[in-house]
Amino acid sequence: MVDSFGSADAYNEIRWVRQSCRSGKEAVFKLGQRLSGKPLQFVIGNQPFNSAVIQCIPPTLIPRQETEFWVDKLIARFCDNRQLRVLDLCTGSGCIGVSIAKELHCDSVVVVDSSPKACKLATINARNNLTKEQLERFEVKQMDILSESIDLSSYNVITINPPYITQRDYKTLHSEVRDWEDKDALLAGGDEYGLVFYKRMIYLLKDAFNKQVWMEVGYNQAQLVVKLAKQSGVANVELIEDPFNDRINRVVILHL
Amino acid sequence: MRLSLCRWARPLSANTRHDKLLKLANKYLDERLSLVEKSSDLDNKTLAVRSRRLKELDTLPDLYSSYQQSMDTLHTTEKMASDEPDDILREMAAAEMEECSAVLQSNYNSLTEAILASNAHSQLSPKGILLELKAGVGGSESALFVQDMLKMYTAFSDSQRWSSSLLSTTYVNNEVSGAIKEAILEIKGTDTWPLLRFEKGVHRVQRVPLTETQGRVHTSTIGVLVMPVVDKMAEKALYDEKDVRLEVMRARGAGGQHVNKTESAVRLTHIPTGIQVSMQDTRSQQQNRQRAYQVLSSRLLSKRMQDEIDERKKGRISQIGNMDRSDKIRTYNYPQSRITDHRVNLSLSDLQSFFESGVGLSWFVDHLKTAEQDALLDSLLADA
Repeated sequence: MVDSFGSADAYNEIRWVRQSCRSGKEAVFKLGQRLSGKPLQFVIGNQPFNSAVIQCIPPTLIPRQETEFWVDKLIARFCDNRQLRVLDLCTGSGCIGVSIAKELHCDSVVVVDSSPKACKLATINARNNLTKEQLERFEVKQMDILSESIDLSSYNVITINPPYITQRDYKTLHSEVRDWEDKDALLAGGDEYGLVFYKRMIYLLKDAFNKQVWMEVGYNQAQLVVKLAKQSGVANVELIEDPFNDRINRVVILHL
Repeated sequence: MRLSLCRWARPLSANTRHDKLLKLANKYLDERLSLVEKSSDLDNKTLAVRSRRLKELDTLPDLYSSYQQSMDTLHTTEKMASDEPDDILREMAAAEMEECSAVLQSNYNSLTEAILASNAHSQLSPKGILLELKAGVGGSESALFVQDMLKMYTAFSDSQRWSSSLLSTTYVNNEVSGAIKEAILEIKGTDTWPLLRFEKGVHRVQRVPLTETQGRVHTSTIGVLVMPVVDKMAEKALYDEKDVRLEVMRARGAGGQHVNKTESAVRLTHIPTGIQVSMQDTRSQQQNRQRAYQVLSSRLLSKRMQDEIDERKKGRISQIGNMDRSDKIRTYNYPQSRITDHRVNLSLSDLQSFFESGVGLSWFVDHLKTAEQDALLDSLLADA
């Protein structure tokens, strides 16, 4: 383990795996899984995400810390608001929508994914983290936003962390990501820049007003997405830096 | 437990101690009287200082008179026990002697504490402490000793019915043994601070390291810091949010969906003081952040306390009475199974029980406390 992860990470990972086990046997089994390349979050079965704990079941995408970081910012920004109507697209494990539903005063939170497995997991994560009242205002919808039409007018906060990895990058991904996580959650088909979901969003938002749209983007996509937005007439665009790398913008916010 | 080699650095007879205390008590009673008598034509600021000082000295007269009384009682009883012609009365007096001296001792203690308290500006009673252990001279042997000490403090805190938890551990790189370079242990419970604050300093170990092949004894050191835990409410007062820079560590290329990171280390930097705290022990970014802020607050409070002590020392003629910065405070000698505390020059010789459950630690602390009080009284007297 020291050889594969470096000693500091190895000790931490061994400890975390141990803490998640009820018996020594289980720990040995799980450490074996980890050594053979299964992602830590799938081995342990969950990942903390802000104040929530998100269950992780393959192949649904594991919540990323970059996402956690900007969702934390979003929560800080809207913490005094009431009557929020939130839509989280490409929700995957549900981490964004669940986290928002847990921390903010929302009239409704709707999370959407095209994968039945993801929708099932998002439902589990909502149940595990939300109060009864919050759950009543939480809804999971299975649909493909690329092919089906969706009315965005009633929401005032929209979040989306769509697949944004290009075909070219996909081949170079670490095997822990490529072999274990849903291709459909990572790989953006269509053009060579991986912008298909952003184009679709901007199209869907054509006549929209009075809302903020937070879109996570890949390391080289922020400027392209901003350009698309400007072209379609969005005047007010805000960027959020990646916490781990200040040369990257991680989120594009459209103020409509 | 066998205690051996017990000797006092500065043997003090009971009488000189009482004399000293009396002298000091008189000095502060005089100060109080002169403050009370001061005419009222003072400006507001001086008045405020005066009333604060009066408040500090408020309990002294009562404590002083009870102390005097118990002293008188002891003397009369003593006299009776030796001179009384009536056998029965004499025996009764003799029997009372013990109780009288106990009362005297307890009054002595209260008076001492009151005098010391009136001269210390910040009285601290935190809900817990953070013990920070750092490997020093001696490479991996020193890191192994950090581990031993960590176990000892954990066992000691169990024996005191405190709760302890490891906040942060940094392992030695490229070392399979699990040697710890740095660790922060949080211990919660009443009296954690008064009992463990003396642990601050350099601890020296002399033994044949596990890694030594030729049987030679090595000398290594570790550093221990003791910081008070700051409660949530008080945290805000210690720093300005704007002065703290929060960084997430270890940038890695593309990030986002491209990479799945497992560690979530954070680093805080308090810009005005340059204090840095990194935390990577939990999988939760939020929890790492909270812990880092907790450690930062404790460090800032410790620093503030140290500054205060330094400030007060400047204005003082004598430099004694402060054991805070002594270099090497204790030596653990394995070949001779002996632990020596250099501040009080005392040794105990059951190394094994000490490391198994901290047996003997409170014994050291008792003596350290008395020695500190003596030294403080001395320094107050020297200033007088």
